[in-house]
Amino acid sequence: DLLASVHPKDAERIQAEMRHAEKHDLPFEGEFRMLLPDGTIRWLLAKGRSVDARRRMGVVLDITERKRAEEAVRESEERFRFMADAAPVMIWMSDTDKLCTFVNKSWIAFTGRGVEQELGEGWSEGVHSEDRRRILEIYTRSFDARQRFMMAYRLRRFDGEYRWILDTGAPRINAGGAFLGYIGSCVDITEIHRAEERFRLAVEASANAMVMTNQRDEIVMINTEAEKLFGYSREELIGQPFAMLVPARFRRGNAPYRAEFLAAPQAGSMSAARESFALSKDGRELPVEIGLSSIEAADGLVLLTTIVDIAERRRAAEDLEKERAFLRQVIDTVPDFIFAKDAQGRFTLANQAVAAAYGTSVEKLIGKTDADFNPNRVEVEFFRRIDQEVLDTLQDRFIPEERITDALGNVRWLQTVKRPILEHNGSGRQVLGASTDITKRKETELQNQDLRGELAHVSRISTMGELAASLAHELNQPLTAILSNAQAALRFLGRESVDLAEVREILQDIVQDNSRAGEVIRRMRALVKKEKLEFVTLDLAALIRDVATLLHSDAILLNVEIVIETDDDLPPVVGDKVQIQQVVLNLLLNAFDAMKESPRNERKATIRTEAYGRMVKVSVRDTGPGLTPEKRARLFQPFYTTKLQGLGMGLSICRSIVEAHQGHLWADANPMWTEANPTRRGAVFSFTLPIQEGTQDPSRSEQA
Amino acid sequence: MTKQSSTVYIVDDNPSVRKALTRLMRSAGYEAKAFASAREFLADGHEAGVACLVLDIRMPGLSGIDLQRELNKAKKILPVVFITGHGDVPMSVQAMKDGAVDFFPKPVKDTVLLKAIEQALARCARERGERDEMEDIRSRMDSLTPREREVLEHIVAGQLNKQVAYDLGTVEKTIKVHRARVMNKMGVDSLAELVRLTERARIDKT
Repeated sequence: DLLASVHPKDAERIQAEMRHAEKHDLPFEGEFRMLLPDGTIRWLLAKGRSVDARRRMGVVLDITERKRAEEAVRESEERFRFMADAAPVMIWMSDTDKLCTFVNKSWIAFTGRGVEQELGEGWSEGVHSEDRRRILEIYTRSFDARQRFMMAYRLRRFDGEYRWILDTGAPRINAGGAFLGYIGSCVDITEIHRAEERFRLAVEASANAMVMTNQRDEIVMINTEAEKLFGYSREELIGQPFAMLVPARFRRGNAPYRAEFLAAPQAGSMSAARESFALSKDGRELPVEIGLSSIEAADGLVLLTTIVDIAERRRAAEDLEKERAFLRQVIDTVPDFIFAKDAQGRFTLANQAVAAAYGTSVEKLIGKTDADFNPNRVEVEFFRRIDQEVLDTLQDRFIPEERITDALGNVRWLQTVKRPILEHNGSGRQVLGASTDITKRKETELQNQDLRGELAHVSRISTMGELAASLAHELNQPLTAILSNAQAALRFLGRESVDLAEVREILQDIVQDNSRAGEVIRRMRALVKKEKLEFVTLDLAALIRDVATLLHSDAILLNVEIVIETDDDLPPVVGDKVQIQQVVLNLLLNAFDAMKESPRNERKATIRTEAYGRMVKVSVRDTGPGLTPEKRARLFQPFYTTKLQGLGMGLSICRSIVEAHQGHLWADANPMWTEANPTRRGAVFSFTLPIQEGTQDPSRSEQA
Repeated sequence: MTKQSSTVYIVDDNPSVRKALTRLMRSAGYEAKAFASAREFLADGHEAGVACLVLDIRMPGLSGIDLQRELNKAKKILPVVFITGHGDVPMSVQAMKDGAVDFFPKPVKDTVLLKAIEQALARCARERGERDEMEDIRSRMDSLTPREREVLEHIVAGQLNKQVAYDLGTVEKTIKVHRARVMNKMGVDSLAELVRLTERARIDKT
């Protein structure tokens, strides 16, 4: 009846088991379900053995609760297996005997073998023979210590290829704290491993020494370059603190730098390269440049230290510095001026010669301009103008001579070459210049020129003097004859008996002498005119510039600033180029002469062209003492002069020339004159030239 | 001395001036003779009468200044009036130093020129007279015997006949005869006149 209440599903099995036990006189133990009258099912454990042929004794235990627990476990295990089989990673389990009891479908799919082949120790057959011993050791050691482990090894895949596997294992402990074995998962890290391998190869192939350290700053990897640099072998360094490669005196300073890096590890961060020293195995300190970068590796963040041997670079830098110093010495030894200026005229380079001339040091000159050292406005302006031209045209300029007033106030003559220093975009940003001091040569030349000038002047004076004297003499002869004849005639007429024949003869002679005098005057005019005028269209602005250029040297010597104010829109004029040049030259020289006593910084000659009715007016204005009414009245008289060495012919000849051109020449007081500054009134000499026929009236040219 | 007996020589290379000046001189009543150059003038020579020279300075060949020097060297008494077209101060100073009467730039006013010519002629006449007198004295002195000259020297020195006789180692009577002959030969009546002539001759010699 006990049996009668056994669950029908178990009854047959239990009966069979019991029969079997009875038959062989074996103890019986069996679990079965009992169906209670209320329909519930309970699990019972029956244990029994036969006492004698007839009797048996046994116990029946209600194991429903245990069964339920077991059921739950089985269900969870099933669920686990189900999940494990569905997982993309390979999962294994082992029991307390270290033997494999489970591999999931992924594993099977990976190895392509049967489940039975993998269980027990079968799985290790697929491990690469080079890795097998190592990982079994790790497994056994970790297992015995009940520790988690992680190991990488090569496992044969179904297609025969060994793949790198990262196998992570952990002990299984049940709720009651009982050790159940291990469970582990494997991932295929071949790609990662390859990447790491590539990284390792890259590091190895690097031309720079590289040392990889872990977060405890222990060396985990070095490359061949590092071996060569430090003189250590890999084996000697792996596992050692990085500080071993740093000279003692730098360790303190170096550590926080690395520590900061290690304290806040961040993948991919890099530090800027920094110069320091490294310590080699033989105790030498090596100048190096150190760069740090942190890298996310399979086993966490690592620090990659790149060490560049900069001994060579440093030597090169020292050589460069030496070379630079040498060149500096060379340019400072050269007596010529060597300099460079930027677009604002500031010195960017200057040698000792320039500094000495300006009475300063090279250092103080840099960043300053000529104007900061040279009080001579005209010189500074001239330098600046040429500099600007070089920058604008990007052409070299050769200046045959220019002046510079040095710190002692001495005038030095320079011959200069200026050249643009081009930027990458082709624009000129600086002017490079080299000037040779030609003062000695120039002084000799000036002396010669003075001498020549004097000679020329003397010969001009004597020629003109002789000319004038001979003209006077020639004119005097007929005048003397006329006068004497006339007086003789008067005397004859005063007599009682007048010899009319004689008087007639005298009068005829007077007429003749008069025409002789006229002839002399005509010849004098012809002399002044020289030859037939050649009328051509004149470019007045160019003509004036030519004359100004001709007088450039004189202007510099006398410290006169020539200002040209020409109006480019003026209609063309006609005239004899040479003669008009002479007029302009003469007026300019007069202006220079007039300013000889003016203060050096107030000498300015301004040449201006402007429309003047149907004429074009050219005026030359000086800043000299000006003209008194008496002087002005006599200005154009021949042989009138205010100059010690002058003949007084200049202005009268100029006037003859201008008048031969149908123009006028006159003098005015300088309109710039003011009551406040009566001594600087200056004078303006102006002349006009008629506009070329057939050209537009200047006042209407705009409408046309 | 009348104007008619005076001659004005004109040297000027300019024919018009030459002709006009000649006329002016004639209109003023002088004899005028013109030459185109200094050489021409020197070659032609000139009258012994009272005369003067109107000279242009600048002439081809010998200049006016050169001609004046030549005349001075030859001890000709012929005062010079310069007229020039281009005279300067140093030139006029030199001319005046060399004895020119005056120096005028051309053209020159008739009154000014004629006044200078009058002065020149007067100077000529005076100097000629002096020279003639001197020559007369000298010829009289030359006519004296050596003994008479010795006597003359002593007399003009103020010695009495007795002293002279003593000095010359002779007797007073002989000196008296010599003295009378000297007075006669020299054409003087008094001792004072004899002394004056002797003095002039001496000055002229030195």
